[in-house]
Formats: sequence, structure tokens, C-alpha cells
Amino acid sequence: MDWTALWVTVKLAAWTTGILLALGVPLAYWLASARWRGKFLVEAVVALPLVLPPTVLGFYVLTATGPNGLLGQGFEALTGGRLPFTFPGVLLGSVLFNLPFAVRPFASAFAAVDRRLVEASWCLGETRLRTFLRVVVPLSWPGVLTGMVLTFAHTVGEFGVVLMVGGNIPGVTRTLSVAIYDDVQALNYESAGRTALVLMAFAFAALCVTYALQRRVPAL
Amino acid sequence: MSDELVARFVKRFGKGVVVEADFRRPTDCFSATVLFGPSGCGKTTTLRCLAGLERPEEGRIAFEGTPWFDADRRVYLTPQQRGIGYLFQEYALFPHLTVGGNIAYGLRGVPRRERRRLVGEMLGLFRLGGLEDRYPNQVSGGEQQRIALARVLVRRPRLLLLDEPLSALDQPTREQLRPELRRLLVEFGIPVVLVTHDRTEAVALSDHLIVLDHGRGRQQGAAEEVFNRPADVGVARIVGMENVQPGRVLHTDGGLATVEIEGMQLIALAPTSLVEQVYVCIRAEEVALVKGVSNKASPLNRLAGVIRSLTPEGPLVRVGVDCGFTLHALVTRTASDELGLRAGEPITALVKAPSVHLIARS
Repeated sequence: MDWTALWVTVKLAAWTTGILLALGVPLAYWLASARWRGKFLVEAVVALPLVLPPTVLGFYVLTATGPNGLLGQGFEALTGGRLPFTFPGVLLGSVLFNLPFAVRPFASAFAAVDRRLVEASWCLGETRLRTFLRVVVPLSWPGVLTGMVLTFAHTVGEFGVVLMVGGNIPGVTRTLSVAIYDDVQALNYESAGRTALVLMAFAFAALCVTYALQRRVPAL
Repeated sequence: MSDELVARFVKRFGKGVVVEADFRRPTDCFSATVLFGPSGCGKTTTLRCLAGLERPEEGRIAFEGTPWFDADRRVYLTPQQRGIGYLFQEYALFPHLTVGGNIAYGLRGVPRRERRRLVGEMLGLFRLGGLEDRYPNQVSGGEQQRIALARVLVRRPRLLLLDEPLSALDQPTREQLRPELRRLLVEFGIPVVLVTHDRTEAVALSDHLIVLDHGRGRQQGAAEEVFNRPADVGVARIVGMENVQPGRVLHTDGGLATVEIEGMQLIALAPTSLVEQVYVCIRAEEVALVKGVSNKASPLNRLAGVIRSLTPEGPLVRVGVDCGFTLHALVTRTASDELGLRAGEPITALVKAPSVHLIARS
């Protein structure tokens, strides 16, 4: 078992989940409540990683963050560092790739909250933000948690984007799934099998949690 | 002068659906304004515009001199800023909060002690004692309605907006709560705008009635007046006028008009402006029935006919009488039994002249 790879994997998954919670909740709430006609465009962009090969997304992230890319130049000007083949670079790719896994469950959970409850709260004098915290969150948290579990699990199992953007640098960008690939290339089937079993068990546990949460009727 | 609610606006939806409101109501004393009409007539939209939940495209809404909405001056106050109370049709209680939590919801910022006192007061006033720790799905429909009302009234709103306050309840509970609702509203003395499609509710709860149809106000006034003397055939249909028959005015004499319908003659009070072609409106409950054929002369309209149909409607029976045209009468079950009403038998219908309402027919 490659403990360094495990650590990188957990770190990447935790950061991805955290960032997507911060970005995804407002985006999902907007998607769930906006009545704008062009909304489907945003929905399509969010869902794009579901159908896009990871290598395609990885390719674009790599070119955009490279020394000639706008994003890469900006990042270098700000921090002095570079994105490709570093942890922040992999994290960026991971956040983009996991967008639908966080935003879609969030949005469907928010959309399931009766609109009249939100309006009732407004009419009782509460601001939009406080209404969100006092009414929407308590009634939709299972969906939000589902999105977080899915994002975390999906990041743990990520391969294409990580390899494209991050390469295979032990302790920096080498995650468990990349380690399995590496082991198989080196004909080290025993090590690959152990890691694969761990990932399999984790994925199964994560899906169990997800389905158990979906059954949960919000606190009634 | 400024102690009033002024609503004059246009709200447009796609596909050419337009809702227009144009009314003003005093707010310095208790007064219940009822928006009445069939479903889809725009009454809930009007209420939502008053609440700030919908934004009209044109016009102006002002409350006691403060503009809430003004399309020209780009004024638009949010529901939070208007200080209104809104009762939703299915009550929209927060399912994750207890009864006490629901009532206290809008009291954030009120000191804890005061908040508890206010909630306690509401629980007493609305007969909800002992329920404060239950959840909304653990109480009855009638209790849910009172919780929703308590939650709104505990904040002492400046204007109370009620959307079909009784329609989510079963019939017996509705009958029981109707007078109680009116009593509570009067007690709080907050001006009310109420939406309903139920005639009984409109009559029992309103001080002022506005009939809406296809997004437009058609007639307004006291409920009795509007229901008994609709301004046109459209309103007559909406308020459920049972007898509407085309007729012709033969002559007028001393404030009374003689009208001919299908060869029968009726006496009606003559309206100020009279045309020859009219619709004759008679409320079914204003028609009395006597057995057999009576020819006694009296100021009453007497229409001899034959019973065509008997339809029970709760404690009442709707009787269709063929007297040249079909005249509907509404009598109690007891009266029907005593008279021994049966289809095919001769009967005389009596209608007082003031109960015959004439509408111009163009």
C-alpha cells in the first residue's frame, strides 16, 4: 500500500469537496430558483464533465494553465508558482471535473424545497440569506451531504484528469488510482490488487451512504 | 386621505395573459376586501403583487402614502420591507419547526422573554395551548390554519393578505372556522385583502367585494349588492346567479317595470337607465313555491308551472320549474317534504318584484 499516495488522494478529495461546497451551493441555489431563460446553458456547462472524456478536460486545463495559457500566466503573476504538475493544478482540474457531482445533487435538493416555504419566510421578514439558512438548509441537507460524499468518492477514483494535469509525482500528484496504473505497468499485480480492493470497498461504502441519505425524509 | 391602500397595476405573463388591478381601500380601520372569482381569474396574482412576491410591469401600489411599487419611479419594495402578513393557501408551515417555532419564526430580534410571552399569547388566543412542541404534520388541518394565522399575526402586520384561507379544510371544519376567522380578524383590526372562489366565504367574511374575471375587476361593492344585483351577465355567471333569462321590457309605471319572458310577464323594480332588451336575474333562494295553481292577485309575481326536476344540495333542494322557461328555486328539505314536491306536478312560483334584477342586454 502506497501511504504517500493515499495521503495525496485524501488531501485532493478533501480540498475538492471543500471548494465545491463553497462554490457549488450558491451556484446550485441559483440554478434551483432562477427563472432566467438561458439557465439551461449554465446547466449544460455544469453537466459537461459527465460526458466529456477526462483526457479532454485534462488537455484543456493543461493548456490553459501552461506558461502560454491565460490562467497559467495569471497564476504565475500572482503566486510566482506554476500550475501544471503541481498539487494546485491537479486540484483545479479536479474541481472542474467534479462540478456536476456536487452541483446536481445540491440543486435537486434545493429545488425539492417547497417554494412557498421560502416565500412564507420572506413575508415573515427574513432576508434571502437567512431564509436559506433557516428554511432551505434544514430541509435539504441530506441532498447536500449526498453531493459531498459523491464528490469526495469521485475525486478518490479520479484518474485521467490527474494524470493529464499532474503527471505522476510521488507525494505531490500521485494518487491511488495513478499508483495502481503504475503498479500494473511495472507488473506489480499484488500491490495493484491491494490498492484496488481498498478503492472498491471505499466506493461501495460511499454509495451505500448516498442511497441511505436519499431515503431520509428531511426532518419531519 | 392617505390612509388607504391604492392598487392600480398591470401584471403580464407570457401568451398574452394580463392581470389588471384597480382599487383603493381604506386602511385606518378594519375592513375585509374580498377578491372573488373563478380559478385562473388572477386573484392570487393580484394578492402576490400586493405582497411583493410578483412584480407588475406597470402602475403603482401605495400603502398609507408610501409607495410599495411604482413602475415609473422604479420603486419596488421587497416583501420583507412591506411589513405585510401573508397566509398561503396550504398554510406553508415550516415542517422542520415545532408549532411554537413556527409562530416565533418572524420574531427574530425580539428579546427572548418577550418572544416567549408573545408566542404564549398567540397559543391562547388561537386555542393552540399544549400543541407548541408538536410538529405541523402532527396537528389537524384546522389547527394548521390557526398556527399559520398566529405566525402571521404575532408580528402585527400592517396589511393582512389571505389566499383562500379556508379552502384546504374539510366542509364541517370550514363551517366552524368561518365565523371564528371573521371574529379574530376584527379583533386584530388589521385591514385584510382576501382571495376566495367560495360564495359563502365571500359573503361571510367581506366588507367589500371585488369580482374578477380574466384578470380584470368587473364589479365592486358590498357582497350582498354584488351577488344580488350583478352589473352584467359575466358577473351574474361568476357570482352563480341561478336564473338568467333574456327578456323584453313592455312598459314602466311608477318605478316598476313589466318584463316579458317567453310569454310570461314579470314585475321588476325599474333600474334608472332602462333599455328594452334585458336579462332578467333571479336568485334561486328568492323563489318561493306554493302548491297547485294559485290565481290570487297580489304584488307578487306568480308563475304557474310544472316541476321538472328535484336535486338535493345538502340541506336544500334545487327545484327546476317549467313555467314557459326553466326557473330554478332553492327550498329547504323540510319545505320540500311539507309541500310534497314531486316531478310532473303543478306548482306556483312566487317572486317579489325587488328580487327581480334587470341587466341591459346589448
